[in-house]
Amino acid sequence: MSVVLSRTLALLALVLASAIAPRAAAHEVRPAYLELKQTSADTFDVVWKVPARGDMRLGLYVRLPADCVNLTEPQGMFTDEAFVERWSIRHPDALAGATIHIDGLATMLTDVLVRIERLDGTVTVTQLKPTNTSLVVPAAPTWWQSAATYLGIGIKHILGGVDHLLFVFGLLCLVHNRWMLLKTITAFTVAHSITLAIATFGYAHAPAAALNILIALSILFLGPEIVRSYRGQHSLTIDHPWIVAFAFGLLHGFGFASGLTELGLPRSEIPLALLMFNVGVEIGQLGFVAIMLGVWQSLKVLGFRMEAWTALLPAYIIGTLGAFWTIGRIVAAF
Amino acid sequence: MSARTSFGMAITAFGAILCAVQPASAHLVSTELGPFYDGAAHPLVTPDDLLTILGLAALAAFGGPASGRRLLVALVVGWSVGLVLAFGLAHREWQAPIATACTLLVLGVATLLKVPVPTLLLVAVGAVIGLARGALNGSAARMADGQWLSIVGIAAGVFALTCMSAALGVVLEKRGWSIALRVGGSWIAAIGLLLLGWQLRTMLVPAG
Repeated sequence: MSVVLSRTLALLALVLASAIAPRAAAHEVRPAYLELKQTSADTFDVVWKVPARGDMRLGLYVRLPADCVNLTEPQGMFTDEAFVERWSIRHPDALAGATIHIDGLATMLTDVLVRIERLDGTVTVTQLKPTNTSLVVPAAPTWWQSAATYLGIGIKHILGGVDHLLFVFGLLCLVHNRWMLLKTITAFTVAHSITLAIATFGYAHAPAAALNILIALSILFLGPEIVRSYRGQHSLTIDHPWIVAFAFGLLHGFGFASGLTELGLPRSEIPLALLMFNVGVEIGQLGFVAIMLGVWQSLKVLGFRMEAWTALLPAYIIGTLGAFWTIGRIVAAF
Repeated sequence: MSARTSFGMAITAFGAILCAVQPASAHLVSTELGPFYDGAAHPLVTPDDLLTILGLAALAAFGGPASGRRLLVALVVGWSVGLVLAFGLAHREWQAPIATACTLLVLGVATLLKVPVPTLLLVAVGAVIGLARGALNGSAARMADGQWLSIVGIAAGVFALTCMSAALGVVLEKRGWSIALRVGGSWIAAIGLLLLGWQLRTMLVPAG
């Protein structure tokens, strides 16, 4: 009976994986960004950055309070992957208590990060979402509100990145004891933190297309290694998965960095943003690992016996999705 | 208990649930992490689903690991079928508050009394309840955001929750802590009774 049950579960997993694959092919976390920088008691410089591809931009538009006056007309231009507009405004109350709307956001999947920097150096960062498309500008912003926003962006970034999660899942399939698990997860965390910091501070940059292909390749690489591991074979990856976790973690860190670098944050804002974003990524990653291990342990307690082909199913799912994404991203790049 | 009796009881329960359904306003929790996570969180934050799963898992735990894993498969498969059918067919969200309250009351009392439920009956009841709750969830997902990734999330959430709660129940039972499961059952029964009383009150007592 348990053989039938495990096969049923395996089949369900395969169906789910195949269903998710097309949706997960693109790891699109590209928020729009609105920056309002105070330049005098009642004036602001505005930067409005909307994700774009070629000369097509997302249909997101800023609606400032009615008592705002444009001091200069918006000047727009397409950059690499965004449409950027800049202009200056005047508001009698320096926007305190005023409401900013983002038109078109309710029907999008993306978010908008709103950053308001005042003359005294205080900064308010707020994330607007399809379920919450407007912001009442607070009179007295707090640093922990900004910190909480970046924390949320980090959690959302990792949980929305199916490719990152699948790589972590692949690593879990390779480890055989708690010590190795600790070393592997720590190595992955340290590595991606290093490149996340390097990329966010602007010391290095990885082209998005090449990076996405390499991340997909890192997942594809794990598939055969998991098969070898189940067969009792040895390799550097199987015996020391933390080394592979570290090496590929460097790549994934550049991928995580896209969640921050695309916002074009000012340098003074980066340390807090980087710290909280990374903490958010770790929270999401550890939550995912905890759930996976909890389910795995529970299946063992319930006495599910994995047949050979069932036990190999995760490896084939990881390898297949890795290959699917690799090919898809290569095709998309050329 | 024979297979025919089990099947008959399960069909009767399903019929009762179907008869008790009524329209409701669309709802699905928003995690702000996308439709998959909205769906996965749904059974965790919806007391009707959560308590039903915990009650069934506790009953299964009394029967040991074999009972737990059979319930897991029956419940998840039933729930998934209900999700897909309702997601494809529903034109409004449905709720069955009285049937839900009765289900919680029965599951809670059975857990409290540690009623030895035959595995076959448990599997049949699990599949039927899964089918019904999946249909209710599917209609909610259809009306809330209409994204199929939501129902994939709900199925994943139900799987993880049932798996872990059944395993926890088995471990508690094995270590002689079945009293914890029975206390949990008493809470589920109490909540079911409260819900039933509330529903009957709103039905029987005129407003104002």
